[in-house]
Amino acid sequence: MASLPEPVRRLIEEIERLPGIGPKSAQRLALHLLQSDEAEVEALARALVEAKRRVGRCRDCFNWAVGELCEICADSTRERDVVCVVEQPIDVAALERSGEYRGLYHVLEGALNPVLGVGPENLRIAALLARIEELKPREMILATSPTVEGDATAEYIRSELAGVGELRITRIALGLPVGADLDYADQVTVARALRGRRPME
Amino acid sequence: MRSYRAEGVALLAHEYRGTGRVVNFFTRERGKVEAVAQGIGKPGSSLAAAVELFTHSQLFLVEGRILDRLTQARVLEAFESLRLHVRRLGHAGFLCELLACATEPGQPIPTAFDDLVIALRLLDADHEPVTVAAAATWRILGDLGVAPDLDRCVRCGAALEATRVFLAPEAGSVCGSCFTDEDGETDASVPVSAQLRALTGTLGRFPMSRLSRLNVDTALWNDLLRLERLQIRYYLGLELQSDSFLRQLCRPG
Ligand SMILES: [Zn+2]
Ligand SMILES: [Zn+2]
Repeated sequence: MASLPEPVRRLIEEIERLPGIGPKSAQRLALHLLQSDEAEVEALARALVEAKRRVGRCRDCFNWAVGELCEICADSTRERDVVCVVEQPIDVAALERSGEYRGLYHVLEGALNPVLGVGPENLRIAALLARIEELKPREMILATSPTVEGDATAEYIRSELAGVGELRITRIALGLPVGADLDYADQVTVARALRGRRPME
Repeated sequence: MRSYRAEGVALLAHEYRGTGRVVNFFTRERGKVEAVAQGIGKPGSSLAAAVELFTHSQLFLVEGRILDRLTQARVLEAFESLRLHVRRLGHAGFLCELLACATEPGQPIPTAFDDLVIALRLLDADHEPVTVAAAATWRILGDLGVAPDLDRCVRCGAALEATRVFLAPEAGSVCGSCFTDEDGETDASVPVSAQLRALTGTLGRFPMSRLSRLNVDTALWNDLLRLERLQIRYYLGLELQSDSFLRQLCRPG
């Protein structure tokens, strides 16, 4: 790399810092950028800086937001008596894509993880408890991932809110993915799918 | 590219190129193994269950230049109740993190592996987490050859009989004649009672699986846990993340 001009070296170094990008991919991307039109590269640079500058966290739900509130919290047609708890803003996007949900969200910004030292204080759990008290929703849906970390987080929140007024606490259904063959699924998934069975209406 | 099989527990995992994970397993056959597992984030991945934290699986791997690759896995025990009890999860995390931090890849310590699996089983089966954690940590420190010596004075070498103190900065305990007032007043010391020394002796010989037959006071388990924490911090030089996790759970409010 010593033979490369300094700006190219720096570009490669910066790209390499991105998650999931090794030295080879970084070189390929740098080469691509250097060969692109200046206008294209400028558009990319502007998009990066602008996203970083303008996008913050929603004051109420910690989703990504331009301004104080995210689009969902600012939307007066959303149902205010259901709150769906997720780990990351990207999960909000996934749930919104389903088109099934019209309520509010609460983004925890992670999940409990003992080995990474992520405890309740490192997540937006206190803010969630305060919000539930204020909004007094009819239902809270725990939509953290079905991993050890996500399950433990859901369970922790459930125990913190157990017995709070009329609040109904639900967990998103866990089980087999659509299109999966039963005999290919691992036994943990199959066991959970069995436990989560429901009467057919 | 040599392939091999190993029985392992997933200690921790990091994201790797989208849906991949780099996972640290502690295996019976090869000690710590770092492996890449691809396609974990996708629904229906056959490897996803085996890379879940603390899961005990039969693993099929291929050796790589830097990282090995997980090709197949069969879950033996998922310890599912750990997910429902955050304190148990914290203590399981502590044992796993200790092995992740205090061992080197390719250094098999089958006794430590067996102690870990039994500890996870006991935590999963609703044993008192502090008891399991204290007992398993003591045994694992012994398996790693880094358990503190409570039988001899670290300063004069005399055999210890009466109650004295374990001093973390010196990684040992002191006898009555070497003990000064200052020694008793630091945050890095734990009194070593005759009962505590007897307990550590018993734990060295006693099979972990029969832990429930030991009739020991909770306070004594807590003393042991404190002593182990000090040994890990001062002697091994490790600040374990799980410790700060557990501290958060203890805080009121
Ligand atoms: Zn919002
Ligand atoms: Zn002495």
